Amino acid sequence: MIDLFAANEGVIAGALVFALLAYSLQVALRAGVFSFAGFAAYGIGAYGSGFLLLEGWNEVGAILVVLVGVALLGWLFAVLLTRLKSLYLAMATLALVLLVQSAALAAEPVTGGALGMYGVPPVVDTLTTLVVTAAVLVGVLLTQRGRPGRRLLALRTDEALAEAMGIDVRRRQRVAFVWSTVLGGIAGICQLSLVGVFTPEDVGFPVIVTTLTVLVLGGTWHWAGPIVGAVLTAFLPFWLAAVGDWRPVVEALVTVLVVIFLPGGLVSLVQRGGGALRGRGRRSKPPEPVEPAAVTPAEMRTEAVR
Amino acid sequence: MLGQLPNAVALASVYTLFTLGLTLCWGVLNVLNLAHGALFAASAFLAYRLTQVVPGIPLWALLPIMAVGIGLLSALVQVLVFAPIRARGAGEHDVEMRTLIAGVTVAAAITTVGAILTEHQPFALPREALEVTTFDVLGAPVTNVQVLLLVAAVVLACGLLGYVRYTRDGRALRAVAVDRRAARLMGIPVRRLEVQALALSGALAGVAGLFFALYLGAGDAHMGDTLLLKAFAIVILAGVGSLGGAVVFAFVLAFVEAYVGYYAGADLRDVAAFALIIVMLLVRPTGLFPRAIGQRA
Amino acid sequence: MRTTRAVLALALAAGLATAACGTGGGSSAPGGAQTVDITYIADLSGPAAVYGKPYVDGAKFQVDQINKAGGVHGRQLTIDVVDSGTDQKQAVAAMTAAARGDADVVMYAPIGSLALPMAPIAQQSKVPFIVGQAASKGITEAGDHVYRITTNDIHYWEPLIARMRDQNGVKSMAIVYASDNTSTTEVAQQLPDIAAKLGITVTDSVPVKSNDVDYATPAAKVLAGDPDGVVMMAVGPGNASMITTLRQRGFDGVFFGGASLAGGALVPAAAEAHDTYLATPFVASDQLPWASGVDFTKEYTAATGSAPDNFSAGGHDQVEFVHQALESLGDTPSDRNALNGALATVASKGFAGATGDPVTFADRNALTPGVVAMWDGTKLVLAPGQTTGLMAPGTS
Repeated sequence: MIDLFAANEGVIAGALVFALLAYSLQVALRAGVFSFAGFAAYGIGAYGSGFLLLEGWNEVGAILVVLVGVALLGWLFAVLLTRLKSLYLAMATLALVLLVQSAALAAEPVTGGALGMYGVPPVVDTLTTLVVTAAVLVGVLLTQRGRPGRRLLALRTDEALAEAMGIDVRRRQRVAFVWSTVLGGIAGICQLSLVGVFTPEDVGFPVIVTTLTVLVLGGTWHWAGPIVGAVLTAFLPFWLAAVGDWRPVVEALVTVLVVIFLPGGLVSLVQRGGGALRGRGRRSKPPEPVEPAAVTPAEMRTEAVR
Repeated sequence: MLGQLPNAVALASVYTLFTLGLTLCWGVLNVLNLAHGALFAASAFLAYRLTQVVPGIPLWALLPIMAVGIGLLSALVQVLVFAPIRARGAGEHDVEMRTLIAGVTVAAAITTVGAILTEHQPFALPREALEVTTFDVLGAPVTNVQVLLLVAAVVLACGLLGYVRYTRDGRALRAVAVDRRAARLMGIPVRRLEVQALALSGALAGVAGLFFALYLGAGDAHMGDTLLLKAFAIVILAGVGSLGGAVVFAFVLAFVEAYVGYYAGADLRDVAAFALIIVMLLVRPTGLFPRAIGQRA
Repeated sequence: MRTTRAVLALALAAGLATAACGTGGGSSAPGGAQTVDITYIADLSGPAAVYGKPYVDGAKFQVDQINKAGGVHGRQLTIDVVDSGTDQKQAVAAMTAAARGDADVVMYAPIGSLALPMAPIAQQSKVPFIVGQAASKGITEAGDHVYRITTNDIHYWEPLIARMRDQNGVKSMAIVYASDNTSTTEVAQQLPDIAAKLGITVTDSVPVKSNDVDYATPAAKVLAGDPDGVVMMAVGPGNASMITTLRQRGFDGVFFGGASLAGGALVPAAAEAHDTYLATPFVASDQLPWASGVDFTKEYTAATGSAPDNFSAGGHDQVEFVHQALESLGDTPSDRNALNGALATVASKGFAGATGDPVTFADRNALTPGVVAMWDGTKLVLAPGQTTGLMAPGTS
């Protein structure tokens, strides 16, 4: 087991960072906020911590300052942006991410430009990242159950209903937005430490796409989805090495099949399998409602205006 | 100042050609078709391969072939991927997310096939396909490709607008966009119309991709990637599925980019473009041309 | 429906099981005979595949040549190629696996920002790491186990521009460079000083992006300065796009550049890339100023049916470097430590490679003379009148 961990440490480290990014995205999505701001925080977290550490700050100080800074920025973005809805918010936060990328390219003296930032003393190793990811997983699991879980469900399914239930929708969504950016910041600090280099390419559309794929493959709304998806996405290229040139096509095929036939991601497969193993042949409890059954396009429009 | 005008207009035409198809998809499917960029590139690399098999094939012959070919490819994606996702969708957000991913994934597959077909090398359509000539307009050099781009953008934009506004199918498409279920209850063949819309947007990509390849002079299998993000921004800023808005915003973005790019360089050009997008969204949270329901497309 | 899912689940479980077995160990020699195991991590898919493939081809060619000749002191070379997909995470993961596995030496080509995080991992695991291309700072600085083959073309720029001035009458030049690429940005920053030293005016420095959609605007900027020559350092199809766009708008001067114009970069520009020159460590030719390069051209063409380029020459020299180290080891077991010591010995003396004779090293970075290649409308050929390389031996 330890040998297996050691031999695959590089892949595991990569998977953990993507799991953290996927949690960053999921935390926002679960509150009904389609935001990529976590990826902007990912870049800011990596460059920020790298800058402070190169300036000679101690580890704890640098990490704390960066995370508090990212949280404050997150709050600012949340106040400015959460009035946008759905794909509009996605676009605005995507522009934010690309803005961070362009700025990182342009601010060569601080960020190292296209070459990227390197030579920063590492502050976390793979094991620490594993512990952090586990802690995040537990946190997400806790908010999925009981009262907070029902509250989140109401938030993302029917905001009007949530409001009628006495939930302060805007505040909850802002909190989710801030948590999303903080998780993104953590992922950035880990990425810089684990890989040793952070380049503008790390904060771009491809990273967002990979993270979305991780989430959808694993299970968008399930607490275990990010981990399952990240492990699969990280190892898939190695399993498919024999396919050679055509590997990306096979990867695409696998992804499309899961997207079409497993709306709940791979996690739903395990859930079903688990039910069968317990010899019940049916689920022990009704599945968590994945999403409201019908939001008509007209309702989508009114959402967009709010 | 005036010398940059033809270049800005040409860039705007490229953006317009790209966003027309994307807007049509969005208006009907209610989601962004992120495979559109790859279809653009596919038109270019398939045409390139075709010119290798059939040397000397002229542009006027390539255009209809690629329009039909990419149209079919796009329809195929709808039938095999997008439609099954909607059929199994658990709600609008869910379908949206999964269609986005499926689009990106299909794009990756098409791009990889393109890279293999072109041996990972940059390529260009042969010079015989279209003789490029340059002439002077107001003291600035203008190529016939730039003029062709503008003509194609204007013709196709007007054609598409006419189709959506005045034909029976076009009006039915708008009905589908507003409320799929009601449209089906009214007896509108929703599935056929969806395939038709995707085929049409694919045909647009087929034609526009060829002009784009000629305009760039050289490309590779990844040539649609950059356009996709810009077009995403244009479609969103224009307002949900608004064709007119998309054209207007294609011009706004292209002019900002061409002029900032000329005077401040490509790095600041991109910073300016993204900053503009954020500010626009803050000022007009539902896009430049938010329309009342029922007036879309 | 239920069956589909079951099949999917089974397939997935099978995949997991294979992974658990598959990614753990390295290869051990069959039948007890000792082998020297090379792990070659290369970008065989994604945007950098166009450079990664010829590197691997060159390395494989040389491994075959050595093995056909009976190996080195009875030892055969094995080469295990891993695709890093032009993706930093995959490259790092492959490096970690190779370093922890049985690889005697690890090689990589061609991207700097991918090699950068790989180098410290090699250094930590004390496995020799030989990088091809990857012309950016900080790679060989990782430590004494990291080497770089093929000369950083920054060394060639001064003699190249001097030649452009003396033989092509270039008195002013514009610089077009990809601002989102490490190597081109680095060169672009140093060029104004070099130009000033040679008495050449820089009319403008124009950044472009990889896969840009507008080359008319940067072309207009270049033309506004009316330069005699244009330094062309875009990435991939950007070079051909920029050259075509400038020619269509009446630019009639010379283009010149470095590694980014090699490979198939100029093919799409075809005849419009007339008068385009580039400094390169190698170009296929029977007129190269060093005999080992001429031999490589002939042998590679005979073996593969196509002419080598500077990338396959680099791949060849990565393997040849190891070959020479093994020769110097004689019958001593070639563990990582011994091999690294031998590499240092070879590096201090130099060796005869495709890119030079000798290929010498400065701070573990290869230094070779380099030549000027020119575009003849369909391929790169040696520019006329070169009896020596661009750089005199021993200078940097």
